[in-house]
Amino acid sequence: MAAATDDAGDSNEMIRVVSSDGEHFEMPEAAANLSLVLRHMIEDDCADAAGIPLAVVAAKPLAKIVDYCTKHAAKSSGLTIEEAEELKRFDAEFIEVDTDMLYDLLVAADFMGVEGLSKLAVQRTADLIKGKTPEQNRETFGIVNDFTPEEEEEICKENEWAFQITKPPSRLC
Amino acid sequence: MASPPPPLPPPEWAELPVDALLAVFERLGAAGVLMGAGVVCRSWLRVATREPRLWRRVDLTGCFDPTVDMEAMARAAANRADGRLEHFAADRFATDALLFYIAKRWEFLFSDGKKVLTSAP
Repeated sequence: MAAATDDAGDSNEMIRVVSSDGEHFEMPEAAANLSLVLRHMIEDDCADAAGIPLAVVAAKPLAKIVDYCTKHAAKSSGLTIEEAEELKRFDAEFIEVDTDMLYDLLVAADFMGVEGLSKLAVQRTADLIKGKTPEQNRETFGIVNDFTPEEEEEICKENEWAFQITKPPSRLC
Repeated sequence: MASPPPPLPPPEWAELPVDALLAVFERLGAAGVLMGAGVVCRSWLRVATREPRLWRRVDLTGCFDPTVDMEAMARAAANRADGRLEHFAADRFATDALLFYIAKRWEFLFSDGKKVLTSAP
């Protein structure tokens, strides 16, 4: 299988992980160490040939997370300005995903304790929400408006301040 | 050969785990949550209104919007903090009356753990 990257850290050992739907992945130990959960399992000698099972992370997001960790582990310390810029470009492209994948990355990065990826996914989600009306956000994220007309009326009353100068920004009110 | 697993149903953003949604709301800031993200659906509204830790730091600097009653927005943010507001920042629209309103809702925590919510005079 794939060889460990030359500069991936102090160990060239490959760590195997298994997704919730049974797919196997490999990454250098330095990459796995970017996940708190994997690091603890490696420290506790739970990383064997069978692979570390990740019961709540499906293959699709796990493949992305393995990519992310491998890239970041290979470039973790002593970055030149160019390398830092390149990593930033990698992150920007990496997180250009549809909302289904974004959801999976948000949840999986949090579960696996991959701090950098969590921040990236949180920022991307906030960027998608920012400046949009509630109705536009429902469209973006496929959320159903589950307020009753009475609840909507109450919300409008509570948020009168936001709507009193221009017309309401959403179908609320 | 085993048949491929059935495709997973699309994720439900309305059911995003509270901690993840809180992190997103924190990044959005008070104005972003108050101006719309918090009223997308019931579960998002619950996180926006019933998690005082989201409102410990309210920074409305650079958020001035001429179409919005900013003072009312700031009061709404202070109310959601439920007495636990630790940091408040605002520019241009922050009047003495607004700061007084916020100070009145401050919960003082004494060293013996006793809490006192200051009340209006």
